[in-house]
Amino acid sequence: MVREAEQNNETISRRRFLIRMAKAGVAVAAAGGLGALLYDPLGPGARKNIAAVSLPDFSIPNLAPKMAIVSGSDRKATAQKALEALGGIGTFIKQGDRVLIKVNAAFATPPILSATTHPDLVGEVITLCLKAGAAEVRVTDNPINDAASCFQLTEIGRAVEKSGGRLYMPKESYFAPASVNGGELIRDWPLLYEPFKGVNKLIGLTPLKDHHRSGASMTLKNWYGLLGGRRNIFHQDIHNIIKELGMMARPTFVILDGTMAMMTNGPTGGAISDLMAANLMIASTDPVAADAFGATVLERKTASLPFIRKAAEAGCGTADYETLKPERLSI
Amino acid sequence: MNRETLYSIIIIIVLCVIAVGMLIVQGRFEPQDFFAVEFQKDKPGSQVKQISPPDDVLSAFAIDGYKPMGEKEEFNEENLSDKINGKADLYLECGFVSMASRRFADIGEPSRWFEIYFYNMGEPQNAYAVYSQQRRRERKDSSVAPLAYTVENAVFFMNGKYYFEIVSAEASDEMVLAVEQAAAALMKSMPPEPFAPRELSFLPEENRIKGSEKLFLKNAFGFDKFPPVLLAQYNLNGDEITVFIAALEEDAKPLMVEYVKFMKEIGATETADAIPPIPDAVVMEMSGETEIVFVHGNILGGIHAAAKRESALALIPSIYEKAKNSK
Repeated sequence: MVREAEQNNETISRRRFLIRMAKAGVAVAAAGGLGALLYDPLGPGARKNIAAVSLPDFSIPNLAPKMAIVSGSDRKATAQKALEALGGIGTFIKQGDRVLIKVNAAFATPPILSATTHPDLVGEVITLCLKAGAAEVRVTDNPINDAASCFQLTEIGRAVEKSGGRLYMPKESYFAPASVNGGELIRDWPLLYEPFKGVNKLIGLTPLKDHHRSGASMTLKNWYGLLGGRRNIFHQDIHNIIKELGMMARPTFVILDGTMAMMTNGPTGGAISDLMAANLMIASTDPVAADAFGATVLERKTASLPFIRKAAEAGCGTADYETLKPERLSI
Repeated sequence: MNRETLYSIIIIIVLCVIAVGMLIVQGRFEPQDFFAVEFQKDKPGSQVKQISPPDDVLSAFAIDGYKPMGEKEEFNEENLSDKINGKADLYLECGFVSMASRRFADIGEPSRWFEIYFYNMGEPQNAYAVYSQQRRRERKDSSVAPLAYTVENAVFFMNGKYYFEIVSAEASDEMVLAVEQAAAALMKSMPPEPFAPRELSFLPEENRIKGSEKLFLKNAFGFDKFPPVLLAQYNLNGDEITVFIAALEEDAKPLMVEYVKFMKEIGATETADAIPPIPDAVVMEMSGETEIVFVHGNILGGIHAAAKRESALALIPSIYEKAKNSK
């Protein structure tokens, strides 16, 4: 009868109204509760079946930070001399060590453009590591676009093969989600991790370059190539991502190659005239110090490269490279 | 069961089906979207929209004595950084539409190769912006195409809305010749469309360093309210001075006020002791460098970060006069 009355647009009873309100309330509460139950505050993240990883500290314990700056145009000779100045390759590489070298093979461009790590430098460092007794020297980078072409045309692939190293070309299965302790950007982010398995030493080999977005591309920025995924989103916060890369990777040592420094139009360059024969090879156990010195070669003020200050504040090294009393040598 | 109840039940069932469907789809995690290396998924060309001629010229491009090293690669705004990394921002900020690239190797000597980068920038002004911002100081003018120049290993030019780089793996006269031939062959596939920014007509030629002009479409000097601004270098008695000019659609005075305010906010101070003989000019100093800004109608111009104030004050009247007398 009541229903008939309602259907006839007659006055609804108070009891009926309350029952309907209660039902509607329960429905809203159930929907809200279900939403709350299914809500994932972390959002879409890494694959759940892969354990998150982090990189260990590859620096030599109890070794005071060191830096050497060697003048000369022969990369093999200057790299050798710079490492001698740091105490010799034996200070860093011991018998049976497994070494990973992170190069910059970001572009499928020829070595003369100096947009990528020079093959002579790669070959020389592999040779030195093997001579020092390394059981294995791996070389890797994740150029994203056609890695095979990048390693081939930069001639890094050939240098690795010739000097007895092992090239790790990126594959999807090589990546694992990684987070940086205290980081805000690198959280469950795909990291090129497979080449790190079993490795106990990490070396970064980087060309010294101008960079359109960050101002400069040097040793800290080099670790960017370890990231997978849609990493270009980090360009919006370039200085903080470089800082976090510094927090993520604590290398055994780095070499910043300023033999032909890319002064303009980086990071790709394209013209020989973008380069300056600075003829400098910088080796350092402190990437921040290496980058701070590199900035002077590029004629940049440290203040114009905020990632240097940020990395220093995060404890990745010192921006005041002179406190390391760098050895200055020439060939 | 009455009709209303029936409808309600049907609606609830439909909603439930939608909810279950969403749950299934959302539960099927797509690692490619959030996790995996992109190069596996984003094979060059996989995401690029239909490209129409002449953008497609690289597909059938040929040059005597050279053969393609592989397929043409194509990039859009989503994946341009896969190819050129941090340089992508420069193009994206200037209206980038698409880029195609392809490598060609000497048939007899494969180590001698070059790569063509073919950017569609949407508008000639955009192409000029990326062209001019990257123009090399050490260069030789080339006649193969509008605004073409060569360096030891490459040729750079633009035509209409397209910007080109042809970069060789070797620095030699032979390879410069090869890249120029490639440029000439490319130009045959499209009508020549020379371009000059309209702001150029507001700048005097005297003392201007030829080819020093750079067009910034936005954010010149970090000031985000600027419209396109053309910069040019002037040489006055050995001092190199950066001049800037912008042509607005409306009265430029309010923008000048905003710019002066911006400069003061970042540390500039107005100097009252050095007033140039032109109306409505403001002289500022920051970090030992001189900044001058003036307006004339809808033209805003000035001098940026001059090392010597006397040189800046000596040059600015000629810049103002030209702006004043230009239409």
